[in-house]
Amino acid sequence: MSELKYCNAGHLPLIMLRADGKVFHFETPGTVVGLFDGATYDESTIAMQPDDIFAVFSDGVTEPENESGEFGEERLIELIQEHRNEPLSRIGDVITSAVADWIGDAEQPDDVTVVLARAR
Amino acid sequence: MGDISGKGVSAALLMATVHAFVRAYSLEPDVMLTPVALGAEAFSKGDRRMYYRGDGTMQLQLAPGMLMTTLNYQLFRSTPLEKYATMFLAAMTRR
Repeated sequence: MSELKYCNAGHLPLIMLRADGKVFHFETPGTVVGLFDGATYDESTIAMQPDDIFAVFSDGVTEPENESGEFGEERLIELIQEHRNEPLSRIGDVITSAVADWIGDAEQPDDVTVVLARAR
Repeated sequence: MGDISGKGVSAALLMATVHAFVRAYSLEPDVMLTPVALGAEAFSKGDRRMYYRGDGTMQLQLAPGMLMTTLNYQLFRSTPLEKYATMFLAAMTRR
């Protein structure tokens, strides 16, 4: 079993894709960092079972739009689920390629960053 | 994972600064931070650090919430008012 200890300062929630296929979002209250004097931040802990995957990503992944709409979080989750048995670096490539295809010839609006980890 | 407000060179420089902060705080013994960075309330929260093994050695690491509180203190004082970041900080340990 693994333990994930985390702190979220105004970032998008963590997505946990459990080994059994269930998907959870973990939101923790916490404001952005560097803007308010004296802000304090709590942390939370999640127990991870083998083959659970967690994903954290920038809004540059989900917000790009084309004529079909936003890339969106659902598409991101589907991609990870579809490739979840492959190496994480491969899943990362699949996601960034899919986002690049979604944007097409338009200008990339924001940085595209994904962090993935799998419990062993 | 972090996302700095704004774009361009100034945002990139701030990201480099934040990166360095996080790395430094991840490795420094917290006794070095005690006098300046943190209020009594933050310190009274208890579980403020964690230990992990890397290369067979035990290292001291500020726990994520504590690290973020310290980073906020530093960033607030060292950057223009309108500069900030969103950040997700996590440490995974095997039990």
